[in-house]
Amino acid sequence: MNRMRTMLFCPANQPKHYINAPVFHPDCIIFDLEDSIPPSEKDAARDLLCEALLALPFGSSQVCARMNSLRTPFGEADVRAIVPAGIRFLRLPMCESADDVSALDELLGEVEREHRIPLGSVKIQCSIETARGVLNARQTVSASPRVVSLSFGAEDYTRSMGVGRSTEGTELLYARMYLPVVAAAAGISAVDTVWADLGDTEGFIQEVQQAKSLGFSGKSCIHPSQLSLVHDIFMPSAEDIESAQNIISAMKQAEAEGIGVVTVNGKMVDEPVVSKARRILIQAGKGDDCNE
Amino acid sequence: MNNIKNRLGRDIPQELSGIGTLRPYEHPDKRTERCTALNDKLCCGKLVSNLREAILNSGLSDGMTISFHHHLRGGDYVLAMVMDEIAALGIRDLTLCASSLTTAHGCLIGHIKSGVVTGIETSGMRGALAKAISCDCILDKPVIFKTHGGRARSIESGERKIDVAFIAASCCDNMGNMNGCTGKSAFGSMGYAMVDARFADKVVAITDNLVAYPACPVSIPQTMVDFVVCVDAIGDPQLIGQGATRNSKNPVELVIAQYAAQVMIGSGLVKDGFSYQAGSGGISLAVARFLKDYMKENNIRGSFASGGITSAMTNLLEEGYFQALLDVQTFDAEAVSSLLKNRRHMEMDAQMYADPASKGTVASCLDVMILSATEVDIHFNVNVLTASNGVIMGALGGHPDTAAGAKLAIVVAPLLRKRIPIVVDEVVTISTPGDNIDAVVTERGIAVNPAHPELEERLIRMGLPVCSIQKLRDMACQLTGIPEKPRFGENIVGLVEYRDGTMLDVIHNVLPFSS
Amino acid sequence: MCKETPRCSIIAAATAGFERPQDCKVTVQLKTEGGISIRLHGANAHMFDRSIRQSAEDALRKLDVFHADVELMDFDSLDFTIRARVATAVRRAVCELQKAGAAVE
Repeated sequence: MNRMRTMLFCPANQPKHYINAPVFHPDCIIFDLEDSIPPSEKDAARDLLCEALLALPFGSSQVCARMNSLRTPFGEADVRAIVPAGIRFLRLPMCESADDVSALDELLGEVEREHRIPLGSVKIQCSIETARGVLNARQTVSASPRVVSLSFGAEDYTRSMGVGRSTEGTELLYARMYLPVVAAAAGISAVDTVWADLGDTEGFIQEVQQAKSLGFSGKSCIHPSQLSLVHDIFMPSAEDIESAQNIISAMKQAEAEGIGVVTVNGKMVDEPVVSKARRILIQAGKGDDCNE
Repeated sequence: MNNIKNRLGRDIPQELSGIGTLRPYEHPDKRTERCTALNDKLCCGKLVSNLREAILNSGLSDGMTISFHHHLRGGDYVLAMVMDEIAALGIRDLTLCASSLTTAHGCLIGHIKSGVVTGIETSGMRGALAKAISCDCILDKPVIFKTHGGRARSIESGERKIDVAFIAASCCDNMGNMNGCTGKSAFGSMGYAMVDARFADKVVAITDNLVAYPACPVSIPQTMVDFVVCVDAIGDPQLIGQGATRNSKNPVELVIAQYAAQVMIGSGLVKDGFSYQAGSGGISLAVARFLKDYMKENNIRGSFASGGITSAMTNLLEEGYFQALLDVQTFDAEAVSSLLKNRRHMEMDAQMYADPASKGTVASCLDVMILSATEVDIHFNVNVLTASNGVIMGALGGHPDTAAGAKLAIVVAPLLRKRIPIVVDEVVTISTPGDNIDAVVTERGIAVNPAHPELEERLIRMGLPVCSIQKLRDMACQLTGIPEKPRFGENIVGLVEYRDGTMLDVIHNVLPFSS
Repeated sequence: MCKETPRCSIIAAATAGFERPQDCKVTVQLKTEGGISIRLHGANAHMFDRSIRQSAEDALRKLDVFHADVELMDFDSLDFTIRARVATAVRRAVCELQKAGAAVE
């Protein structure tokens, strides 16, 4: 599992984003081929993404692409073009069932074989954006080992629910409480929906803090100015980091000595404790410390 | 001992040993003052009816040197008005010594072509005039580019003699006391003009706001002024106050500003009593904002901020982050108001600011200065004068002076502008030598001059993206590719003078790209 | 461009890209013969003339296009954008061709 505190959205048809996005060091840059691109420009956006992947450095940021749904005329063409060009992480929009994931999984297998890419290299983030999607989330994320993350999209979700969006976000509560649970059970990361009002910093901070306490590991962002706030909020405290490091080293030592049960600070260290410690270190950017 | 009776009947010895010859009192009206505007009585003042009269009375003739200041920036009317009058009078072959030239001075193209102006000294030039000089070689003699401090030095030493100084003032009385901070065309500090007034043979004050005697406050006193002319308008108030103080929202500029602020903090210089100068561009202003946050958190009070003063700086003064502001040029209306009202916002002239031959400059008291650049090379040389295509488009200003004087000189610039790499092997024109530059901050990396390994070490420990200047050049090249080098001709169209009068670089004319 | 040889004809044409900073607008006219010709416009295009032309030629070659007239209006785009926009224009032109039912040489 990689650190996913921020996913910075960049419309894939604007050259300047490819040049500038890495400068802001989001954990992940997500180039959008879907909603922000009009149908007449889907082909152009795809070509731009392919050429950019071949030519430009992206620094320490992961690169993801939000492809078009396989139910549209564009989805398959997206995958067949951008995976050989280097994309190894796809956000699949409108995931409503395990079938959606299986279809992509199958297509990816075909493309990987055709282009001699190691099977299973391309990972999937399921974007849950509808009522059905939320209810089927458990099966959806388990449909393929490629699924390493899920994301929540509030705009389409509220549309599917037939409700408007409020400042308090009550209409999103169920989805935002349920999806991190699904993610935790599946051992994957969960990324919260975008905050669109760039003028309301206080509201933004509140929502990010709430996302963290609900168990999200990060948030989709639409502007670089949002990144450092999200990074700070999702950064574990120094005490948590130290504690996690102690737990992991105790675990490693016990493994080396062939001892089964370990205690740290009087508390037994079992699998959930180790898992949590690993997640904390990944969030803190010390993923190497935990031998992932 | 021989005595002479003076007019009042007193016996005055003709000579006394140890003192010398004595002159007996003759007449109350016998003046020896320098002021030449007077024909008869002093109380009429120095006011003449128009510019033409002032020019005639000044004795301006072919081959002389005239000077102007650029405190009115892009809104200046005065240079154009004066030049038109001079041309109409048939005076020719003049050397123009300007503190700088702006987009308001395109009229000079015509005056150069007609032979009225045959030599130019300036800190910089832009727009059509600069292009005409760079590409069309309209001027036979090369333009001499001087820093603010270098200009002051050359005027004070006599190396550059000014025959007539034309000084625009937004407020002036009939005796020539003037200031730039009151009146409809207020522009703030008269720092550059003060040097001209002090050393020029004749001084003509030009105002659109003639006030009752005495003007208040007095930036340039009557003792230096020969003639006063009142015109309808000395400039366009909109354009005078334009430029600075837009809060940058450009995310790349903010990244650069953040890094620059952290470099300053990492240097250890940001502590009580520290001093600071920055430009008026978007990045510089953003640095000021980040600096303020750090100073607030750590209870730091700076001693002074200097240079071109913007409202961002006057806010810092008012809120107590600095003890004083030293202002050689004021950039916006709010800052002009601050100059007028706040005792701790002080006007300073170009000599005090940066003249290396003076008894001490503000530039050499600076801790940190921030400057932008059109290009930087791997030797840390900076170009602010010409674009990557070789055409003149900028100004030396006080950058080379403050970079030489400050303890820490930081260049801030994006790694590329459009498709042009900013970090290159060799800059087209050197305006500040790399010896005086300590760090280059871009959005993709920070390069520290190898002369400062301790600073580099500290910045690395802070987790900043430090790398070599060669790496920055490589990163830029990888993105942009290598541009075609500009093609230069044989003519020397510009000389770049270092602040001490020695020659830093030479600018050749730019040939058109063959297509 | 093709006025000399009567047999040379433009079989399809298409445009891609936009006239905005760091982008370029490319029009590709596919031909049956006559080789590749590239006309480049743009305030700063001369500074990267060789690189831009090379990128355009690379993109054409990658798609097996050997005869085309390319009109490129550059707004300080980097090479990857040139390649992408040329590729998109070619693909769109080919699409036009397929729609028209004409045979591709």
